[in-house]
Amino acid sequence: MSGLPPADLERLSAYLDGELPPDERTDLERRLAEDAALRAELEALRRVVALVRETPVLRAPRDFRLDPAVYGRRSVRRMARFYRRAGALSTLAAVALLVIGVLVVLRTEPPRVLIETAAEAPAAVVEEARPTHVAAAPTLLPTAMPPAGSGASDQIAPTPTLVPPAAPESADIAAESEGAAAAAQEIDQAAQPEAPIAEAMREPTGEALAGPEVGAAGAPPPTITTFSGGGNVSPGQPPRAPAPTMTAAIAMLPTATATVTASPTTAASPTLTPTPQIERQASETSPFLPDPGIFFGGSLALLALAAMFFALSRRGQP
Amino acid sequence: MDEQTLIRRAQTGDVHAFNELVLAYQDRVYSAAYRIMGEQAAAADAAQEAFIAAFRKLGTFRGGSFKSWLLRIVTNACYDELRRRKRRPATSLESLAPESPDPSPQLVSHEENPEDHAQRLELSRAIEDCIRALSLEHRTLVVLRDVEELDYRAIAQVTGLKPGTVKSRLSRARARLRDCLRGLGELLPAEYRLRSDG
Repeated sequence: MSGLPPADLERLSAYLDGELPPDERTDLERRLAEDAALRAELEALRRVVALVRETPVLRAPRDFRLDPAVYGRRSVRRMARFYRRAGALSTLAAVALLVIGVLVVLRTEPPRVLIETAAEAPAAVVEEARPTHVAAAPTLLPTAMPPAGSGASDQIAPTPTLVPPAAPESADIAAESEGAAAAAQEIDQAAQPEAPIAEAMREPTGEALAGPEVGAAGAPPPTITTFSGGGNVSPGQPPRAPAPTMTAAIAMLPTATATVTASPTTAASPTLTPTPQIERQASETSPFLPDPGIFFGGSLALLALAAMFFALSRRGQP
Repeated sequence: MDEQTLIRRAQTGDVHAFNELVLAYQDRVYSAAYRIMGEQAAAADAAQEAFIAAFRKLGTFRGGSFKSWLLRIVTNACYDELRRRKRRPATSLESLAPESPDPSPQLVSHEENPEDHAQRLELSRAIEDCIRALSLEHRTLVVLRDVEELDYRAIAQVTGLKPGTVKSRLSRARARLRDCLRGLGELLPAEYRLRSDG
């Protein structure tokens, strides 16, 4: 055993390892220069350390490499499993959205067809009017509106199809604005004798006015039945009137009041204040259904996501 | 492929890249385990456990010395095994190690003549005996510092001790080792002989 105090042994040991703080090292080196016993102990420690460092590295008695069959690409396999599951879930969600979208389309098809028909009717004159400025010929007002609360199919608001009493050869439509701005629109319509002049109004703030001569050309039968008191509409009418040729110059101003002058060949020129009530009626009486495009778009997005997940799940696979 | 690349690939789950690291370090890891545990079978088990644990924990490796990181894991594996043995006193390594030294640990090849090799082997056994005679903690500190050459900070990380504690306990471990080696006398080469008169 060394006769040195443990503190000195500790300093010598740390000095050998280069772990002594600079001030202590300086102090120890000064003492080493003066103290032979301290130098001898330092030398003994140095030999001990050298001997221990002489111990050879042993050869491992066996191979410690991991078996790839057991440990191979663990995280990759885990991630691949996760991506496969995520892809499957995304696909399921996409299919679900697709089904919902189809259901929504099926549910909303009648009014959509009606509205599209009305909007597409070439003879239609769509005008916009403020609700406060409803100027229309009283004779064009429908005598009855569809009762609220009934089924969606028979809740369809009157189609803005206007059938003049006599087959008009042309229709002139003048739109007057409330203010200074005014635009005239003229519709030349070469309509066949039985062709209706349709007017579609889709502005939700408007008021739909349809005269007794207004027919639901192009509207499906359920819609037509709602016009029981509204005009000369019969369920047996063809779904779409022969398309009249129409040249229209439509002035659409926010404050405009439209005056529709139908065929000059007829005495009864239907003056119509167009009506957005069509849409409103439908929306009031039908359950709210979102645009199916949302579902189809979401479904497509989910399918793309699923494809990405499946691609990721294959990445890094052997 | 350099070590950092192998580590990065192994961190992605590439067991082949990890096995390259195993090949590079398995002798050193086993040696450390053997000198801490004192017997081949237990050291081999600890080394294997250490490599498995290292592969599983590789995501937590944040750079620095991979060797220190591995040594920390193998030291913990040894401690775990020793704790298990302490719960079974009949096989406690503390009691078994000095009495059952492994007579012939296989050395990594040395290109020496047979006489030199025999002398080195004898010296090595003597030193191993002295190391094995130390307490577990002293043994671990001596192995980590004087065999694996980790600095005090790394040793503190491996053992969970404070650097100041590492310093003082390592000093005591070396003092005991010095006393043991003095007893070897003529077995030691002249340049290593320790005089008892200090």
